[in-house]
Amino acid sequence: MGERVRGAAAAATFVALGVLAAGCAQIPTSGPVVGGEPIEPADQQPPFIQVQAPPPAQGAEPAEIADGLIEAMGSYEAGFETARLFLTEDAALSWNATAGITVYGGARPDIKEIPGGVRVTMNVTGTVGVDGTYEAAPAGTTKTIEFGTERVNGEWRISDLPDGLIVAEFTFGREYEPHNVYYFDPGLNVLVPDPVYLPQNENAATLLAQRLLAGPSDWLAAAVRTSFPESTELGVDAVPVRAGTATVKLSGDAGLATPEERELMTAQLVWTLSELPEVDQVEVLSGDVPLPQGGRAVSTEDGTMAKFAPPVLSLETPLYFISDDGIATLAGGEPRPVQGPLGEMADIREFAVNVGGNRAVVVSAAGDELQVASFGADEVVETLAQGIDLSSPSWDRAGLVWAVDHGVEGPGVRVNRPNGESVELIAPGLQGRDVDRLAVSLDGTRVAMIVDGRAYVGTIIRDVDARSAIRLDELRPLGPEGQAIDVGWNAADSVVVLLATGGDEPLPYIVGLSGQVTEPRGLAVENATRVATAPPTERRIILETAAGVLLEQRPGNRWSEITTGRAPAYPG
Amino acid sequence: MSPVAGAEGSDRADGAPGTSVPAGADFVSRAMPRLVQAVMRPWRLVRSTWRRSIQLRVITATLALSVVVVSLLGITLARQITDGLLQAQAKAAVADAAAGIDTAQGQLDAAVEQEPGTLSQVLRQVAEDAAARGTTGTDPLYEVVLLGSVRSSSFSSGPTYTSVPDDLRDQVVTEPRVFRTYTLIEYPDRQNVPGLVVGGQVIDPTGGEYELYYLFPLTEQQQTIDVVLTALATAGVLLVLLLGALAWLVARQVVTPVRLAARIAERFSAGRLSERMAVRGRDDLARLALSFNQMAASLQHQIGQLEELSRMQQQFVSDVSHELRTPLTTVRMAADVLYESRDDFDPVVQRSVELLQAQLDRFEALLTDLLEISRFDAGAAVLNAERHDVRDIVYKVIDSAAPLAADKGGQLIADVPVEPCVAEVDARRVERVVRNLVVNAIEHGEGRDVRVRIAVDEHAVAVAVRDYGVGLKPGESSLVFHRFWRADPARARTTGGTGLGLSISLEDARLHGGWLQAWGDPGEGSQFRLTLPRSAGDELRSSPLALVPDDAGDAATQANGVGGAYRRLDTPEQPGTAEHPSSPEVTRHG
Repeated sequence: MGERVRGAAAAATFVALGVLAAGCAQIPTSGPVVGGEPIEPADQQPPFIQVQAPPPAQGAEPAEIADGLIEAMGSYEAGFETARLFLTEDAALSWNATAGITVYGGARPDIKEIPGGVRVTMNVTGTVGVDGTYEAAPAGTTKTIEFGTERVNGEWRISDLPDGLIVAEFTFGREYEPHNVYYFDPGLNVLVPDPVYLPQNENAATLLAQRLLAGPSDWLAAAVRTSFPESTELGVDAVPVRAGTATVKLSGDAGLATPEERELMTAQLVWTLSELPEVDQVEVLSGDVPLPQGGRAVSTEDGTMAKFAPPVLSLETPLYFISDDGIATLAGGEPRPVQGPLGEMADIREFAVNVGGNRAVVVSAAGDELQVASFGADEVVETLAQGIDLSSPSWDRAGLVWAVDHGVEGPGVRVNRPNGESVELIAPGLQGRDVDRLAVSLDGTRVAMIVDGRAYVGTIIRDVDARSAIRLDELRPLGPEGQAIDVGWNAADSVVVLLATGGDEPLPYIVGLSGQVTEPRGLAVENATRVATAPPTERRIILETAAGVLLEQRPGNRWSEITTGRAPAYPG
Repeated sequence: MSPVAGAEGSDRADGAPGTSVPAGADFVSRAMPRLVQAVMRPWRLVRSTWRRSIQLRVITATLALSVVVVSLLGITLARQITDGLLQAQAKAAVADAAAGIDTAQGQLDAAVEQEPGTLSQVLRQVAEDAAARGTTGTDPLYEVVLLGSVRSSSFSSGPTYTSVPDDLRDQVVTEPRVFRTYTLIEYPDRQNVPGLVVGGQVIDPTGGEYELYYLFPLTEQQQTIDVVLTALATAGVLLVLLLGALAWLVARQVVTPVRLAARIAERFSAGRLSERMAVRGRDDLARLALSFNQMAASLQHQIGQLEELSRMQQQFVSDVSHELRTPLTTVRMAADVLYESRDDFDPVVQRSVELLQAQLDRFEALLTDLLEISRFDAGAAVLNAERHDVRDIVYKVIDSAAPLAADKGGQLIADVPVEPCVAEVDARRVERVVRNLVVNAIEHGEGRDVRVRIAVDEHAVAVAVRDYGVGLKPGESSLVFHRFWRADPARARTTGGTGLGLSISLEDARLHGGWLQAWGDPGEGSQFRLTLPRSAGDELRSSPLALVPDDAGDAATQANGVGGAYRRLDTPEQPGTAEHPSSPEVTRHG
């Protein structure tokens, strides 16, 4: 009897399990609502296409050979073997392909046969130096190059050509991509990116490491320091990446440095190589000895490396602006006046908050005085300096206060120590020009400016303790041509330029120091006058309109009002 | 190995190859069996387990069959799933590629208006757009390869150009159609993956021909197939294990009672007649147990009856012998009186008296033997073992039997070792056995010599009596020990044998824990061998003497009858290994 009951129970269980299993196998027609990823604009980068250029054809004319050579220069090969097929043996041996790039616009340069060779005329849009930095050429620049030609075994070959590559703009945008090589600020505290262009290929890690050891670009060289001794080079001339770990073998002398220096070297390598998507960790060896102390492979997240990170503001950093009552913060969507006298000063022109977020410098309503005070109930407002038509105040990491001062002879920019002492600024590039706005990068090595309605970036050259004069040099135009209104740093290697092109409403362009421009998206904003942005989120862009409204860009390219006020600013 | 080889080598160096060859052969003959044994032992173990265990056979058969079925099922399923997956993918791929090639052709056609130098840029754009359409997530849906003629550039979104098989290229350039095939997509910087490549032709505005290939990596399909295969394999293994476990359970259910029955039957046959199986439930096995128990009960009853009957018979024989003894004594005394005064009778009566006397002697001997046998049957025989030199006993018998042999015309030859052959034996019984064997041998020796041999080793003493008479027919070597058995019923008894002598001898040997065995062959004579342990109570393992005599013909040594009786007598020992090594023939043929 008992057994029969047990058997029946087992059968019932089986049937129930079967029904359950059958239920699981069905496709549901209802269920819980599940959230997914936020909608972000897709990466605009077109997929990388490898191009294999054809070798020279038999019986080709000199012009065709020159055309084929330029075509072959466009598709990167480690040794440019295809391009060298167009050259005579001597020229193939002597030609240096890595000596910079001339980028031309349009489909094809104009190629004319001349006696003894061909003449190539092209519209130059930019050049890449030997050090890998890109510099845009002014519109309308043309360049003429002459190739010498010779017959080799009955076929025309090029016997004489300048070093470096000639690449079409179309191809350059596809074959080369910008990377950051990191160097230290003069105080060896934080890393500063140096944008360089490298060909897209699987040896990016090797090229980056070589570039790093070769030292900073000419543009940035005076403003930064490298921790590598000049004699250091790659012990093995390749940086293999396996399973996310890049292995850098340095020459033996790197291992002789002090532990601190070795840590700095490792930091530069780790931050530089970690920009590559395939690299998670970097193993740095000198000879066969790991360079960093302790573990072998390190990533940018490791504490010893993270402390050198290019400075950014934390995501919780609030936006500061001038409300009807005075300086206020916008934390959690609600405007709140800052504590102390500054929270009650509404009658001011502009202000800047220091990186620590506890002190602000204020430009008085008349623009004739720089006042400074801390946030706090019993703080007092002190006068830092006086000037004429002051604007655009900015703090740097060293605590120096920068401001545009039309009363200063020469550069038109004033730099003051926190105690009010003024620092001499040497800026030969600014002589006789009108500086309108300026923004110092968080690392304090570069400054973005609006000069004569055009955005520029320059380097700040100073001593470690900034005792002596500061030099502002190497001004370089940024972004598309147009009427630039305001500028701000939104990453260590890019700025936001509020720019009106061709009579349109001004829009924020994100401009990389490498020269890349991200076109603004979404609807135009009427009468935008100021822009505030904060590293590291390039989407955190606040616009102020002439009507005194602060707008923020939301996903979906919508500008939405966040509050009323003026002079929005993030610390810095 | 090496010391042996070395010894062999030194043998050769001594210039005595004649001795070295047998040494080597000897080594081989010694090592080979050992080697074979080492190999064969596990095999034998498996084989014997296989033969003994129904359970093992059932489980093995179930496992083998289920493995076959599950494998077939798995292969079929895997193939169907793979085919389905690949076909669906191929269909979608061809549709994608055809649409893409059409779009690319449209792009190229639109480039007519542009300046001539832009063609390579347009082509690159075409490849880029095609690749961009295939890049939806992190892993591209497909890769694009655009191949031109020798004069124009080739474009690829990643794979090497050799990923496109040449035979596909040959097909694509012939017809304005889309072709597809499977290939290995090779990457210069990544692992190669299997893929489906679909391609068609596009023509640029200047008439240049290009082939546009879409390479669909089948990694996802491969993963799906891997998952399915893993699931199938897991399910298959589990299923096989389940079936194995089921078979084990079922076999156990059946085999356990059968084993129980077997064990009980063994005990039953060993004499424990009261053993019974436990009956549980009412199933088939319970019925088996029930009928087994009934059979056991019936057997026990019958055996009891037979034992009772046998005991009654023995008792009867014993009683009859005793009862006959008293009148026989009287008759004997009367006959003695008559016999002593036989000279006074006339010759006819005198002859009768002598016959009477002779038959009375026989009658008395018969009665004595019968009583002896009945003592053995009743288990009343007692062994009075003392240390004796068996040679003395044998000499005594030979001395007394020599005249009889001389009468027959033969000779009694004793082959006795010089060393003493001391053993713990009952001298009276051993003497009786040896006498019996010797007299028998003389009797059946047909006047030829009778040879008595004694041999001794550490554990045993053996006495063999050899005659060269008619010998024994095959099968008779065991019959000789039967009571009242005669080789030839018609044969006259010339000596006073009672027909019980060998039976009593056998019982005597058994009483010692020894063996009594017979060998014989027609025309070759016969040999009886008595083997006794040197210390009473020891178990015999071998005999110092061969049962088959050295002078027997080859045919005789190979006869089946050899040792047949031996086994049936007392011990499970195999005759061959039982023999002393001094008898090579027997060792070899054992």
